[in-house]
This record gives sequence, C-alpha cells and structure tokens, in this order.
Amino acid sequence: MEDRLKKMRFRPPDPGLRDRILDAAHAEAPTPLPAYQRILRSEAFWLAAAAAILLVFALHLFSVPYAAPETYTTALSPETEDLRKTLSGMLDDGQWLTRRFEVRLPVMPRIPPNGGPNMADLLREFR
Amino acid sequence: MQELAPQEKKWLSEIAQGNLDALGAIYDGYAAMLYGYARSLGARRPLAEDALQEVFLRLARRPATLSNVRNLRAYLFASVRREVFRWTRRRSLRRETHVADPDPLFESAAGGISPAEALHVEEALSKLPMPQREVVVMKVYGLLTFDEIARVTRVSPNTAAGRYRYAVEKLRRMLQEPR
Repeated sequence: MEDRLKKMRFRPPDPGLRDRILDAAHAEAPTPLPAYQRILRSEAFWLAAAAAILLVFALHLFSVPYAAPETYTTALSPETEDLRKTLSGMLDDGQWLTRRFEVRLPVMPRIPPNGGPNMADLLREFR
Repeated sequence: MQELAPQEKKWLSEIAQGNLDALGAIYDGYAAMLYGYARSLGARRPLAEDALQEVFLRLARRPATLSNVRNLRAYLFASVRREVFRWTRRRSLRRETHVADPDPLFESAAGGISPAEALHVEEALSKLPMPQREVVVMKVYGLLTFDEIARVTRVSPNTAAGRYRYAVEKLRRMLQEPR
C-alpha cells in the first residue's frame, strides 16, 4: 500500500503563492536592531552582569578587616578623648570594624634640660 | 528525533541573521508537502494557502525562535497543523472525515500510477478519519518517524503507529489490495 501511495505526490500550490509569501515575508521581517539593543537582548550580557553582581556581593560578604585596630595611650585632649571613646566602643564590636583608624597625636618635642627660649610657645601650641 | 540536515542548519542560520533568501529555499523544498498536508487536514485551497503563508511569515517575523528548532520538517508540519486548526476551529472541520474539495490533491509522480488510479487512491485516502489520514501523510510524504508524528499530533508514539496501521488496513480494504 505504501508503495502505491509513494507513486503519487501532492500537487504544488499556485505558482504565484511563492512570490506573494516571500514579498510579504520581506515586508514583515523585523528591521535590524541598533547595537545597544542587541547587547541588551543578548543572554551573554545579562549573564555577565549577574556574575559581576554576585562576585561583588561575595567579596563583600567574605571580606575581613585588613588591619587590626590599634589604640594609643597618651595624654589626650578633650577632643581626642571623645575619639578614643568612640574607637573603644567600636572595638567592642570588633567584627564590624573593617577600617583602620589612624590617630595622629602631637608629639611633645624633647625639651632641653635647661629649658629654652621657645618653651612657652611650644606649650601654648599644645594647649 | 532526527537531527537537522546541514542544509537545513544553513537555512535556519541565514534566516536568523536576517537573510530571507533562505526562506525561498525552504519554500521550494517543503511548500508542496505542507500545502498538501493542510489540504489533507480538511482545509480548502484558500485556507491551505493562508496557513502556508502564515507559517512562512512567522519564520520571517521571529527568526530568533528558529534557534530552538531541532527538526525543521516536524516543526513545519506542526506549524501548519496549528494554523489550519486555528482557522477551522469555529467550523469544526477537525471532526470532518471527508475532504470535499473539487481540486485534486495528488498527481501522479514521475513513473508512478495513472492519473485515474491516483484519483481513486486519493478518494480512498479522503475517506479515512482525519487523525489516521494525517498520520499517513506525515509518514509517507513527510518521511517523519512515528516519534516525530507523535510530537506533532501530541499523542503517544504507539497511538501514532496504531493509527497508521489502521489507516493502511482500511486503504487496502477500500482499494481491494491483497495483504
């Protein structure tokens, strides 16, 4: 039976149908997208963006403080005392302290045993 | 499931890149078969032509979807089927078993049977229930496997094979052909 069926073939459609269909297809074909839209529609772009976001998040999550905080014992002025208290408070929750605070305190110059003509000026400066 | 032939891959790739000349090549290769399939589903000439046009326009409109096509012939058969059923749903042609169209559907192939005999076979084929008729068309003229036919018609491969077997038996009886 199959052999008998194979000895027949479908009649082709109207010969003009080919041109009609292809003309309509050319008319309806989408115009090429601008480069930025092709990029926005590309899977590679969105995969790369997602990977970058995940990487930044992971780095943030697993990052550790890059230096242990240090404290300085010195005679502090009232202002630096406030700073010292703040830093001490932060030290209590040390896990959140991810930055090193550098406290620059004035260093008293060595005063010659016999004093000096500028002693009074130096003391005034540190007040 | 058959893989895409190299030529089919080339066509689909060209269409995806916006080169619609490949559409003409696909038309030349498959239009007669798809048109005949649409007619065998019960669509008259204008409807079969509309369905064929819509299938090709869809290829041109959404070239990106072609990247998912793994079997071009099965895809085209499924598209034609969907289009014909979409158009005929209201007219309930799906339940119609006899194709009453004055235009003959078949012609004798080169070195084939006589035109009168072709008409006789076509008449017998048109008397088959539509589900059996479409399986015969896809198997004999579309060269699809039962697995591919099952995917197109959304039945199991066993059902597709069973429909084909029943159809061939009925055709043999109608045409009084010995087993």
